[in-house]
Amino acid sequence: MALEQLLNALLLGGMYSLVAVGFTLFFGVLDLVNFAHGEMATLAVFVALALFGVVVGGTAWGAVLLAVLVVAGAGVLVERLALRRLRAAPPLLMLLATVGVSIVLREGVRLLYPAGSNPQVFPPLFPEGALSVGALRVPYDTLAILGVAWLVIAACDRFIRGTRTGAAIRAVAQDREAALFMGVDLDRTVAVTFLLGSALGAVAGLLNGAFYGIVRYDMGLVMAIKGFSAAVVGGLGSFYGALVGSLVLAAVETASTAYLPGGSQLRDVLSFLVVIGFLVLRPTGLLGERSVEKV
Amino acid sequence: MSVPAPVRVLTVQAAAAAWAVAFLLVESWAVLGLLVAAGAGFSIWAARWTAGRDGRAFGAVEECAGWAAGGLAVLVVLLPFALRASPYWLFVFVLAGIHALMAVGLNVQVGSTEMVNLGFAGFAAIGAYTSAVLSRDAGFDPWVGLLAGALAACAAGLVVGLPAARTRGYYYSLVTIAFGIVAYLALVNLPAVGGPSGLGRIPPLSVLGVSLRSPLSVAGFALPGQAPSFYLVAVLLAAAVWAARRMHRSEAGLVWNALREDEVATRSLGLDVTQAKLWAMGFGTFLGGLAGALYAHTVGFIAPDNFTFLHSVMLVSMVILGGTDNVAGVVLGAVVLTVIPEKFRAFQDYRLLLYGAVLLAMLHGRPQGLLPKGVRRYASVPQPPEAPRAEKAVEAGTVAVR
Amino acid sequence: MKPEPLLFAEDLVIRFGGLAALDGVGLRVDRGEVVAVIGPNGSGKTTLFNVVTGLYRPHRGRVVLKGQDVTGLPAHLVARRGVARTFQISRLFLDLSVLDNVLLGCLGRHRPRWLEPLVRPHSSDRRLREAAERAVVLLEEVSPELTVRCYRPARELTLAERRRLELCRALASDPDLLLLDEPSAGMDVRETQALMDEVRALRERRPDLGIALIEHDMTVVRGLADRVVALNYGRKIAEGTFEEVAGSPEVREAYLGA
Repeated sequence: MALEQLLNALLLGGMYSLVAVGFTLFFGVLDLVNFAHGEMATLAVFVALALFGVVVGGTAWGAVLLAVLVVAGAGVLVERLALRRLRAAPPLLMLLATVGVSIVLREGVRLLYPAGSNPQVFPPLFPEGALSVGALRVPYDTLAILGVAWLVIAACDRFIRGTRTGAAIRAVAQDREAALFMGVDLDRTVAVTFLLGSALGAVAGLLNGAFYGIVRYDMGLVMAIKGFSAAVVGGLGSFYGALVGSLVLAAVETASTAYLPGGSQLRDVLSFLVVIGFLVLRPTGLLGERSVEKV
Repeated sequence: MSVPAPVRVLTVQAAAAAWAVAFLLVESWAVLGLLVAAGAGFSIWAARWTAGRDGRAFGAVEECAGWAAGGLAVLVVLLPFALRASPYWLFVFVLAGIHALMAVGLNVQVGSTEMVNLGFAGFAAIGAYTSAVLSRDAGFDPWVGLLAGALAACAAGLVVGLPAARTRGYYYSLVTIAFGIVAYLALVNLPAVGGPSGLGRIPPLSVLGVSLRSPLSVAGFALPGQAPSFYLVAVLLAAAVWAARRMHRSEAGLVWNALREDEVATRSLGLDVTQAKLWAMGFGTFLGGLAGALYAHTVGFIAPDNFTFLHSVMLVSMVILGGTDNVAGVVLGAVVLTVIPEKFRAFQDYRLLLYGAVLLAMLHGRPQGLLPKGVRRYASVPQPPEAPRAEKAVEAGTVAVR
Repeated sequence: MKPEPLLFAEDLVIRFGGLAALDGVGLRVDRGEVVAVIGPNGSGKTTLFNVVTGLYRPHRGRVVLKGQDVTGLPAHLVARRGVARTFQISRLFLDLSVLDNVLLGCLGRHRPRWLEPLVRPHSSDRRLREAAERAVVLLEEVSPELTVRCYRPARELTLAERRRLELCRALASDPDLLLLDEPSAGMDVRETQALMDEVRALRERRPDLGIALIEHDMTVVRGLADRVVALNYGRKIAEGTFEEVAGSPEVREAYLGA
């Protein structure tokens, strides 16, 4: 029924938006489509899985939080080692470098984690059961995920708009040269961007794992494609665009699965056709600024 | 006594070919290690022995281009003879040739015009499936299917290219990625073309009634069934290389490079950038579709999983490894990145990791690739006498932003 | 009777976001004359050039070139009708050789025949060889010291050399109208003098050429311009000889604020 579908869409949209915001951050600050972003989700999940067995006396949440920290750090490391030197090179090279990093990370996880090629079970992080609101039955974990997702996004927004580092990020995103002249430390700002973006990706992966209960080494790739599509639809470089785009895409997918015959197969094709449509007809997305190239 | 340049070039070619065959056939890791070391040493020496008149390593190869091409042709003809006991390796070379064909097409986009097409596998898939369906289900001759596949891919390239040409470079890449994924999803979800399990029983190409998958007997030697396909791929690749080099060395190639460097300036000179981009798309995807169709008829079986985003990435890394905008380079890149992973098939599991690592290494260490693009020279304008080198230009008025 | 102007643009309006970069500006250039366009930064000078050359489409107004209305035509078609320009920050093909940069200027006038390299390779080669010859002759004419380095990548040139190459490339298409955007920017006194001498020599070689020149350096304006047009906030505030415009109170206010 419709309310249930709405909830599904909100949930899906929430999960996509965590990845989409990351993409939009990287694009805004570095003019970069970071193909390795999705692998942060995968990395977080597998690090958490590895830690579950190891963290003695700790709860699953301890491992999860640690995983987020580890992955955030990994993101900074990736930028430092693989991408920084290419900042002055033509953008094609940095784009391809992120593709290379994503392959290395994904294969690394698959090869290093025991039986990495097989799907793994991810423990549920949220209590079982559901809340009954009238005729609607909302599972606790759905509520929790919705809550966490939107909380994280709000915190991110607060950070970007309310702190000095956040201001630095926005400054670099608007005009890198001007920001440099104003004394912004570019290296530090980029590092913080990767820290933040990777942390977001990590949270996205962990929530995804907690919700579906099963994770695979290539889950990051799928999430990245969805998240990046959402960011494009909303407008690469626009924070709220990432949210709007995620909801739009989630709505398209939920609706087509629920209401179209054979919808679940067409679902992905449809959402991509929407993306292509935007790329071609309105490349700046729903909320992105129409920029005119300065001649 | 000085050995004439053509002799030196041909000798080095023959030695390299012999080394390559040995490299493929040797099984013992110890001997392989020695071979690699010997090969490294030999190439350093050979670079100097065949240095060009200006001292450039291996320069004599370009100066005696005619001899080098002839030598290469002879070696290609002889390869199936050398590998006649290893049909597997011959097949790997057929695959390498097909990849090289794709790389030559992709190079016009990625190298000449810097239109980073990350969905090339989708165009190859269109060529493959078009040809397969036409020849298997509609009863057309596979040769007709081949041409139809190439044309279908070309048409798709123009359709995808037209709107993308109007947008900024980045968005072109994203459109191609989306296209590649849509193509894959469409093929997986269409039961009419076999869905995820693909299409089998694709008829082979045949000449004068003889299938190109059948073994060949030449001068008393029995060549395996892959040999005729190998020769066909070699011939088509040679034609493609000729065409690509002609385009590069013509006005068309100049306009392509200009729009890569600065689109606004190119338009302000009176050149139609959109038209140029469309030609780059069409030329490249035609070759991609042709290669895809060739693959279908050579192997006899295709599935959507043969044409994924990762395949597109692999093709781009071949272009980058070999040398963007250098046709010979991308052929080399394709051959290297097809053959080497097969050699290390004991490490089959690490193949993708290898691609990722190679890509990163090339981007950081040698982004211009193994064979960098050269400067165009014209017969009507001889090289002026060496002038004192200009001081390194200072980017006055701009801050180098890192 | 006055001959028809080479370029006649009137009432050009173009807005970006809410801002009118051009608010009813016109420009006239006759054959054989040099018109300087001056004004503080942001007054719309480059935007004017961009509209005239077809890079931007104006929201109002028209551009008439050699008697034909070219308003709204895409840039490459305007260029083919005999317009060439240089840019404020030089837009050379840095990875291509010095010669190739000029050669591309020669190619623009004619439509490239895309299939010719494959179906008629000899005639395609011949045309390129001939164009290369013309390009090198042009290079010798405008800057002989660059001829020696014709096969070096343009990236290796100093700023002044790059500007000279860009001028050469612009002239390669044998234009009727030449638009120069701050040609002396970043040059020292000696280089500026050399630039002025070059433009004067150019006027002698091609008396029919009309030149429009955006400049901040008043020495260049005084030395080269027959007529000066002053812009501010997208509007024309003065027009006349250098003395007339320099003495105008509106111009003084625009530059000095009082």
